[in-house]
Amino acid sequence: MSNILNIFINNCIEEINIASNQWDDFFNNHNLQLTDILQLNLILDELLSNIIRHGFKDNLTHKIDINFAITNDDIFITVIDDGIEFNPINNHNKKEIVDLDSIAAGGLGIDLILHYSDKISYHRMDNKNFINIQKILNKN
Amino acid sequence: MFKIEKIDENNYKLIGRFTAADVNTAEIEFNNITSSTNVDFSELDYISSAGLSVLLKAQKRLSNSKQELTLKNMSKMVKDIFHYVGFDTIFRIE
Repeated sequence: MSNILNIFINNCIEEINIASNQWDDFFNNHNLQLTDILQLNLILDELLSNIIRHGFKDNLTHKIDINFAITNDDIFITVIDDGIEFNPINNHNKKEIVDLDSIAAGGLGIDLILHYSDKISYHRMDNKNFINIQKILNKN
Repeated sequence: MFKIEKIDENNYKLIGRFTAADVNTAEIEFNNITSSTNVDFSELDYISSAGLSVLLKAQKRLSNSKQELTLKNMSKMVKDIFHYVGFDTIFRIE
């Protein structure tokens, strides 16, 4: 069984759920715990929907490249897109909730990505965004 | 796969994974809620920020007429999401 998986999706929100069937199979084949599977799905949904919603300023179809690598202890995910330069980690400060009127839901997705990832890094190369995520897996 | 079940006028149930792709479906249902309503989370795997926005929008609208959503039976992970983003202070969670 391969320890790596590569998936391409187009910049269309509906494609995230279609691709999730592929990465769920990969996670299940490697016996990941349900908590890890759900947290990884949440990370991927937030990350990919953010790229699709905000990353492209034209009406063209763009490919987003999603790579997975599993070791005994960790899973590594790299997402590559050719959208506008965007580093989700820089300048991101978690907002404090004061009351119902003051809340805006924007930015919550990045809060959740950071919360459920153990390590995250970003770089820009060849006009592409590279986001690398590491998550330590729960043991049975 | 995400589903919203309307049990009766004031009781809804969320099932599966509430992802960014499910926002339109959810908004149609939540826009129809006009009075205080219980939402059962017992079969919800997780909720994304897009899903949280739908609930937030409904809660803000209902609060204008002194009504509210009560969220029930959350899993540990869903509870953690609400707690982490601070939404446990703006929703009644039972």
